[in-house]
Amino acid sequence: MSAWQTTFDLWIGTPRGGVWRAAWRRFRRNRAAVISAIVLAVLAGVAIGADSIATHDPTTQHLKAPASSTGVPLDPLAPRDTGKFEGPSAAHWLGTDHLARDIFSRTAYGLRISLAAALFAVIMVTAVGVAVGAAASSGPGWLDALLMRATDLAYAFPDLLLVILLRAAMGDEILGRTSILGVSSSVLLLFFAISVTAWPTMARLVRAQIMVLRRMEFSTAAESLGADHWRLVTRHWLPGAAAPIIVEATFLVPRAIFAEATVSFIGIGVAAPTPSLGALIADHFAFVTVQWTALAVPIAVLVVLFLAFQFCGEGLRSALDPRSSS
Amino acid sequence: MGAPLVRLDEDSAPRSVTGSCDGDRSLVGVSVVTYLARRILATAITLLLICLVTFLLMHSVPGGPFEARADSRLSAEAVRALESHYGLRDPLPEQFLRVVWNLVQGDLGRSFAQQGQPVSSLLADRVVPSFLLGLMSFAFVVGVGIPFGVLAAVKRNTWWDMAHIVSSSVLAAVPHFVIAFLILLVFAVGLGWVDVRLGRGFGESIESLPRGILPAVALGAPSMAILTRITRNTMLEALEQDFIRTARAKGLPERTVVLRHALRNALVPVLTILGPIFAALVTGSIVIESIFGLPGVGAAFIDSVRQRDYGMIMGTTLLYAAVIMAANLVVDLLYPIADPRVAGHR
Repeated sequence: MSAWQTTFDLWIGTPRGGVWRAAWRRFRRNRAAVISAIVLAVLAGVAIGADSIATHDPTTQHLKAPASSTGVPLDPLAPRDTGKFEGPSAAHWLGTDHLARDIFSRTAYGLRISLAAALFAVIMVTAVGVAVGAAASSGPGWLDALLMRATDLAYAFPDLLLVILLRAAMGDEILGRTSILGVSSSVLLLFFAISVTAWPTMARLVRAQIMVLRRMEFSTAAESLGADHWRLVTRHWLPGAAAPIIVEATFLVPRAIFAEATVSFIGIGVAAPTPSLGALIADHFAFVTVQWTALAVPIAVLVVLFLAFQFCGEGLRSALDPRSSS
Repeated sequence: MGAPLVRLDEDSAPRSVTGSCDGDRSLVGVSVVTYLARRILATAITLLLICLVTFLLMHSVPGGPFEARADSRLSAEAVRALESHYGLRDPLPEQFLRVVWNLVQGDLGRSFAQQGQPVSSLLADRVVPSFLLGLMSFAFVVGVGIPFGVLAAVKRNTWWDMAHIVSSSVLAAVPHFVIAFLILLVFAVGLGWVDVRLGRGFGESIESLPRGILPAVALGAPSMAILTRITRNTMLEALEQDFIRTARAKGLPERTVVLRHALRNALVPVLTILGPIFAALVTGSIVIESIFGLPGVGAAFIDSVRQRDYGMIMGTTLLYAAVIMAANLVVDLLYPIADPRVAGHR
């Protein structure tokens, strides 16, 4: 309890901005976290600027010979100069895939889809999780019981099966062919399905945090000074719970990327020919014995992404919550 | 999610990982039988709800089981006849009640895609490889994770400890299918020792079991890394306790102090994470199965969603949910046995 008390003295006792500045100082001292943050910034830059960074259109086929000029279909695996399975060159920095598409450009666009999936899921999950957690911990008792049983149910439901079922159930017809910010509706539905499986963890975290905060003396003080319920939640409890929420959100990103990659790998995620890291892995895995380097590219990007988020998250945790950095 | 899909956050208190202890506060001083009865009742209700959610979801997948198949050469009358034969033209509430009633009697229904064979026997064929893979993976996780964690704690602040911290944080951060691809790149593409689809025929005979070793390692690697870290942390905590100093003061050999005194205490929190890990390994092998061509439940589930095979979808979901809840229940029941101090609090 004393550790908690110190944390709260820190939170409440320092003027606004002071806590964050102190956290920023601690974060900067963590070399792995800073390097990871820079790596993430670069990757995010590639994802956002994919249109100008990509050297080719991600779905154009750069076939050299006409596919079948004689009317006889060519054997796709035959070692012929077709423009497929090319190694790295000045024209195609990372070579071309089994359909003679530029791997570098496809990876840049794939990174965009995967990061967008993660971002969308994190925003959805944080919004829903915070709302549900706050309502459960400070609303009437029956609401708490109901919401907790709902999260129990979500815990017992096998995550991946739920994502697959949801993605299949929603079909592609719901939103038609609309797209938001260049992201097609089938992709948005996939993001939504991933979010649905991830919110209970966040809701439980917020609930547990507020349960602790509401028993602290400053809550009683605020209440006796006439703060109403809304003010308690929005001005005292949620800011108090901000640090663990931010840390949880950071660790949620790799989980969402993993889910996207998994569902796309299985073949019911992002629809072809749109590239995502998972779809690229699935595509290139089919030809791993022909061109293993093509498989190594999206995997390397994925590994760097995961490690960067992991170290960044750990850095954030110890910066925002000094008592955990023992 | 996979390993990361299941929440295995080593920093949250291990006790809370099971996610089922919320009601325990009201159970102070209740007998084991009452406790068990309540838990089983709660499990049954959760299963019923999962059944309802799955039913609603799979019936909202566009297309029915008989029109969804690309190779379908069925006429419209034949589809109608088949649908009424399987009761698919009845109102949905009636269909749901029938599914539940059959489940209560232990009947998982029939598969539409496989000529009306019972789901239970189809699943039973697929369960063997998935379960064997999960068991092999679990053996790898426990057999490697715990000794490495103990070693890292005993050799604290040496190069061994450092190497362990780095490798375990890398392994824990990377999803299991990345490790599967690395294994394939080394052993199948580079060295050429194994075939890419080496999981084919796994579980059919004893000779086929070695084919599961590499998939099991890939599946278990992230969980192994997490378990190593938890074991290291709890061991470090245990080694600082007073009774360890007493044991050393008595002149016991270091080996006995570490293995008999510290490890036994360090393993209590580790035990609680083993349930979720086991459940994650058995239910999280969908991708590993499709990478290695392993004929398991996960691969069957993907097919059944594509074919709108309602019976198989329901059977797989309930099977996985039951595995997850059973693993949590076993841990909660074992916990007071492993640590008698908490028995009184239940």
